[in-house]
Amino acid sequence: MEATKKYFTFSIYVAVVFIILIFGFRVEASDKENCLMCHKYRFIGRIDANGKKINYNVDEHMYSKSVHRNVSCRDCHTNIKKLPHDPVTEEVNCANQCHIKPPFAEENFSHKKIIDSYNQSVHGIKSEDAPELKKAKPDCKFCHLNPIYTRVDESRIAYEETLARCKNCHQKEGATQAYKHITHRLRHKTSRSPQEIVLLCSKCHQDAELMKTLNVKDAGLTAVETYKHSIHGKAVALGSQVAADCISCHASNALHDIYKKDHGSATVNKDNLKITCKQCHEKTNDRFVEIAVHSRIDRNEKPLLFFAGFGLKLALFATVFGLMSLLSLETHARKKNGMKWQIKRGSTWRGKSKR
Amino acid sequence: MTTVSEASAIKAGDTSIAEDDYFTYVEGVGNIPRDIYRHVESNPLGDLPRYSIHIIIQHFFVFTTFIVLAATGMALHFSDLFWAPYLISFFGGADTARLIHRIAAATMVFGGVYHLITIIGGPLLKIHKGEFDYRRTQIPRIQDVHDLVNDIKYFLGLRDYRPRMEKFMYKQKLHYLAILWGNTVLISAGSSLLFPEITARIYSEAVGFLPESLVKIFSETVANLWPLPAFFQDFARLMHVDEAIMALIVVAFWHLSNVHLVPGRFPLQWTFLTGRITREHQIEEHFLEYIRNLNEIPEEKEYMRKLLEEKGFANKVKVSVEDLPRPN
Amino acid sequence: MPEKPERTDHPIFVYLIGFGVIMMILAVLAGVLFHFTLSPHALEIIAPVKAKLISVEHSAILEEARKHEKSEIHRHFHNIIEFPKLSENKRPVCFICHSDYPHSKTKKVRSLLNMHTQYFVCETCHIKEDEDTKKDTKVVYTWYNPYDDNPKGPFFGTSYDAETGKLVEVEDKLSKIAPYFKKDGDLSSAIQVQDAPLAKDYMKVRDTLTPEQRDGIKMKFHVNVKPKGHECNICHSEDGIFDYGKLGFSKNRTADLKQLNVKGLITKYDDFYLPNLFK
Repeated sequence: MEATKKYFTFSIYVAVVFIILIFGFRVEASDKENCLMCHKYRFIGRIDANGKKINYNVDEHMYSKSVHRNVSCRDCHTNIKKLPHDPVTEEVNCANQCHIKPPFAEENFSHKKIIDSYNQSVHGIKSEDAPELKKAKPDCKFCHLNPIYTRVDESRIAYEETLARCKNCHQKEGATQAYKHITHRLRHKTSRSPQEIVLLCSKCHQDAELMKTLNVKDAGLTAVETYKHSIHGKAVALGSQVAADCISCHASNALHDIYKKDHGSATVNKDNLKITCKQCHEKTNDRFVEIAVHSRIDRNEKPLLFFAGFGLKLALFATVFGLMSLLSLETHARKKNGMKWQIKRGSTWRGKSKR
Repeated sequence: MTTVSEASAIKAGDTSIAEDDYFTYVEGVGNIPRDIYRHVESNPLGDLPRYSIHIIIQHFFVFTTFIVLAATGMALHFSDLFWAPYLISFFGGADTARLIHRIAAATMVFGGVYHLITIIGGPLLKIHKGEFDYRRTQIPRIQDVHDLVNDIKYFLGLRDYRPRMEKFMYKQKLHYLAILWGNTVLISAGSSLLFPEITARIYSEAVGFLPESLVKIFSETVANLWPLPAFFQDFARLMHVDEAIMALIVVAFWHLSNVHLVPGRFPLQWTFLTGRITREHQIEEHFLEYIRNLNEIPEEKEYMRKLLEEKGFANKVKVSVEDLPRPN
Repeated sequence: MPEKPERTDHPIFVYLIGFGVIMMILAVLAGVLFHFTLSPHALEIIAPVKAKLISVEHSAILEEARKHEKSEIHRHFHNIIEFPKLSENKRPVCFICHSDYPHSKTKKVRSLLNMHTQYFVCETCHIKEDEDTKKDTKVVYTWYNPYDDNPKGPFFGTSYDAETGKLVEVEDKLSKIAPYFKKDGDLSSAIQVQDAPLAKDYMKVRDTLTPEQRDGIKMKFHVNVKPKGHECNICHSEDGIFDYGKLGFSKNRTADLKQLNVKGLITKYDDFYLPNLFK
């Protein structure tokens, strides 16, 4: 009897160990269908009918470090039904539900919520948009490049800010609890650095030709340039982690709610500016928000400043050339009068005057 | 304060004497030829007092903070040029560099306040003692313009000798005024950039002090041209940068060249370290101050008397200094 | 002479401070000169002079291609990792005309075929053995690295990571399997690189040749090359031409390669029976 009981307990231990071994350490769960068998090779690809080089490689090492590492291929690529699959013509829909259930959630995960908010924003495709505008507007994956977790110092992670972002997609209940228990989120980040954000937005907004075809107003056309001339832009260009990048001002914590200035929901709308600026400028006030952020000193817009700037430049050149002429004249005359360049001696009137 | 008589001799600092007088007679010394500086011996570390210890310390404050401010500021402003990131990483990144810029600025302001105390307190003390002479200060005079014109005439070969100048000649006064102006602009514009929230309010509240009718005119007619506070912020951005560039270029090409590079000053003028000026330099560019030194410093008087005796200038005689034997 | 001053020479220390001063002046001077000439803020007056001195040739085709390569990152979604590239002169001569993705004819497998370019050079698959010399000249395969006469490996794709099951990441990503002619124990390379005399000469005169002349030269280039490559089972079978073990492949990797690792696929989907596609 005793022996049987002992044997029984032992079997349970063994079973538990086996269960842990089998389910606890499965790493390749995302590629159940072995898509990587072909797609793991770097040079799998071709030149397409338009002469464009298309690569189909999915780097297995990188993918397993990305946020989507637990999502199996066909959760997104839903139109692939057989192997070998036909040429893929349909785009992936990020609003699909995948087979991942977030902690504390009843339903499978989907990006639908944020996509709905994105579609409302200036970047969302509207039915009344001109065809070239529809084509130019970025889809999800234009910006979201399956980000890789990069390790950062724990102190560098702003909990409140990150948590606010979590709630863009995850339900409110349990998000904090889950977040604080998931250590990889405490020490890793996937968000872009300010520099990368500027680079990303500039890809379209600095493309003057593209912007012109979309009938963008003058201020929009020069937005990147004026930003780079501002102290925000300069600090970010030099690697600042705290200075404002594009989305610091143009979006709220939801990040996707970018609107034109005259839209009531825009963070850069006159009525909302105080809240937006307050994120960094704590003492913001009614008059402070009148200061131009994307400032441009244009001859027609700000003639007074334009000519002041011109005058200052003129004064600079006049001063420098005036003083340098005086210096050269003086040196020439003193040398002529017998002054010598001497390295060692303190007394230097060694030459004979030629005057 | 002085001791001189005779027709062609001068009272120290008296500008009424003829500009072209070759000899200056000083009681108890002799006839000092204008170009005696060609014959004196000098210690490069300085023979005669020029700056007090306070001025030396203030200059230290100014030039060390200036280098830091220029390096961080220029790198931040010209962020798109290749050298900027290197300089910024030397200062430990953009955010640190901005902090360093502010600390250096505060230190420079401190140096400025220190200077203000000395230049107000020093003269007050001297007035009390009855020793104050405004000609020995940086206060601009009409005479400085004459000196500038005469000096240029000398450079062009139209005059035989440089004008007799005071402790601070036109170059130094020009530079000093430029620093005063530049510091005022840089500090006010810089604070405007550092505390935009406060300045935005100050500018608009300043308008509030105006009578209501004026405010109306202001807001209606001028606002388009002069919108507050956006205008002032843009103006501050413009002025801060422009004034800084001007300062850097003037300091590097004019000031540093003038004091350390030109013949006679090369390879280094020690004045900013020792507070003393060489005899040769003092006589050449600050002749009137030298005459004052003669009366104030007995050793110097003795030196010059012996030198003149040796050269035969103890009594008034018309001899060209060119004919005299020079030191080796 | 009256008493001399204590010293008439500068202390040695002067050179240190003086040097600092001069360096500061030079630094500002260099900055100003750079600013007005080469920097983006240069004076507009010198723009034409600059354009003359630094002439950049603009090619619409090249710009389009570059633009596409950049936008491909945004289309691709999955991270594209940087892969080391051979310098121009070290690349096999084939790439001049056939590009990095040479296969395009057989739609269903072109991507799979292009995938093989990571492992071996063109001639490995497309080699044509001379009928006359076949008897005493054998073709052997070994790893070839243009920068290294005797590459030691480990080479990419030769073994699995025991823990993750992924291919082991390696340093040497440039080595490829290449054919050599073996005659009387001597090895001679069967491939031509871009800085081979013949290739260099061809690149020089390419634009001046008539179409007929060009065809003639092309024949010369392709003397050891057959247009249709080996079929799969030439390598992917138990008695293939590769000695996987000798080439450094691990045991389980060798097994996978020999069975083509697609055994299940082939049995499930009849139309993916690869050898048929080549007939």
